Amino acid sequence: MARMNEDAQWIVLMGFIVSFSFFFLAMILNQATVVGQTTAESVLDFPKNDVRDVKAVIIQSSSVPTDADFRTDLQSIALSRKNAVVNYSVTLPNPPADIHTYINIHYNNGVTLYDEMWASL
Amino acid sequence: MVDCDGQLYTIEGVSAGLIMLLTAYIVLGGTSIYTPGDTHISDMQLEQLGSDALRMMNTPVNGTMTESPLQSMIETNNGAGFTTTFLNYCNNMTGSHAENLQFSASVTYRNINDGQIESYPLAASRNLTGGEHAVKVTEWVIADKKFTGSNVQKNRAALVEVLLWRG
Amino acid sequence: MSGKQDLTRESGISESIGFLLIFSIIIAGIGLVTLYGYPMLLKQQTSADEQIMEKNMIVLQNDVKSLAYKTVPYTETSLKVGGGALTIYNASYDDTTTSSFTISDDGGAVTTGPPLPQTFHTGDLRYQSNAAETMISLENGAVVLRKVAQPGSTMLAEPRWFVDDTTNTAVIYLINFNSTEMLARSGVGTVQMAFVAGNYTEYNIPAGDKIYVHYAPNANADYSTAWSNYFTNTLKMTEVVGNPGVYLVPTHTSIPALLVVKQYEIEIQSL
Repeated sequence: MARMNEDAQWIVLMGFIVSFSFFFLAMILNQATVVGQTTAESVLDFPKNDVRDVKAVIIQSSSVPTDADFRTDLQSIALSRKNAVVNYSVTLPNPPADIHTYINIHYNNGVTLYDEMWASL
Repeated sequence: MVDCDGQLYTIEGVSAGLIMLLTAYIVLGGTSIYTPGDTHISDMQLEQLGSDALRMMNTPVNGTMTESPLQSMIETNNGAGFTTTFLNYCNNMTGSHAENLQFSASVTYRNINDGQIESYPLAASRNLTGGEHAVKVTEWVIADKKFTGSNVQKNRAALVEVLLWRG
Repeated sequence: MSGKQDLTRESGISESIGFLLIFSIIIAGIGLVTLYGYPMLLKQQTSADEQIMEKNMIVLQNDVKSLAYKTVPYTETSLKVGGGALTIYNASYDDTTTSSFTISDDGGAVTTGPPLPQTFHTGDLRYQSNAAETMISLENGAVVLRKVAQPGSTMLAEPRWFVDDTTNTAVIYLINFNSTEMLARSGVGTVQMAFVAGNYTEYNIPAGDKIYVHYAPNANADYSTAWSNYFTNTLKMTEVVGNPGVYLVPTHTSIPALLVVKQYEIEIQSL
């Protein structure tokens, strides 16, 4: 039997380190497959621009003359093209007691439900 | 007599080799991962760019209570003006070369007569051939216009829909 | 060697026994790996394939969302189908074997839109693993999964049906798949989907009338547990007593309700 030689133990050590790091990398990669929805998809799902846009047009409509057709336009186009239920009510200012316009906005597209009470300055 | 030196080294070498081979096998065979080409990241950016461009067009000049450029483009059916402004906003980049974005825009309104939702094309920088990976951006507009089916000119809500893709 | 006789005495060892020892250790090692390690690896590979496919299906569902909810004309996604095959089952292929959704009301009171009840066949994009253990389907905008030998099923990603309480509106999406030819894929491929047609129907439901939804499963891919859980837990529908598989849509019946049914037809151009 050859006598034990303690030289070059670091070769074995390096071998172990490399093997284990491979193994851990594999485990991390394996976890990645479980993650379904990516960040981009979540962002695409969230109707930030739609809510903002609907809010802007409703607020704008309170300062120009509109009638019932406008409301029907907004609600039915939102439902058929944007898949969202939109509802709103406008309380016009009552000077001199209250000079503010109040608007209640309701938005729901199945993923995001949004309600806002907007008051003019 | 056979020289017996270095037997331990041989065992060590063989076992180390086996461990490394096994690990490599597990790593390569155990988890072959193919992530689907995630196009949604560029979709997200394109969508943001498109809605920002439309939003800029729907903002009245100098922040006054006048009509926004987009509003008047719809009221006068100014497709050429829409094309110029929209492409200018979208394709503007810092640096020497411009972005190459193409779009196809339409206006959706409600026909007062039968309550149907209808659309008509507003402008397009290129025709759709069916193979484009496009995103859709929209903008609500209040248009003082006589849409099809209506006899009176008054403020109506209309939706500008733009398909946007990299040409 | 002769000078170090006191350090390494070799009189107690045999070369042949040493060889035998090493040889048997190696053989035992190889045997262990073949007997236990390899099947374990294969099993892990299978479950990794299925997990990857679950993710792929959710990516495909996002494409369907873009096509249907955002009316984008065309999407494509390249993916790898491992350990099984991805197959398209046409909605129009065979009415008796594809799953269907039926929307009905208490009867006769709805005057707007096409007459109720209406039945829609959806078709599905189905992954079946080679081991014939798992089935994952993209069906009517949802990703559903089931183990073949077991009765239950689960929904991995939900569609976007909803009932809006404030406006008393129920919105139901029906998304069906079609293709001009039979398509199946295993390995790396590109799924190309195109939006063909959309249909939008509004039903004015008078006060007192109730809306029902019925899911009829495909005999070969029964996802009724998944849909049942979705209906009852997410949408808060209730199953009609004495009429299994029929669910009551939770609109307020004391006031008129609006039912919106949106149909989308998606063509799978290639897998």
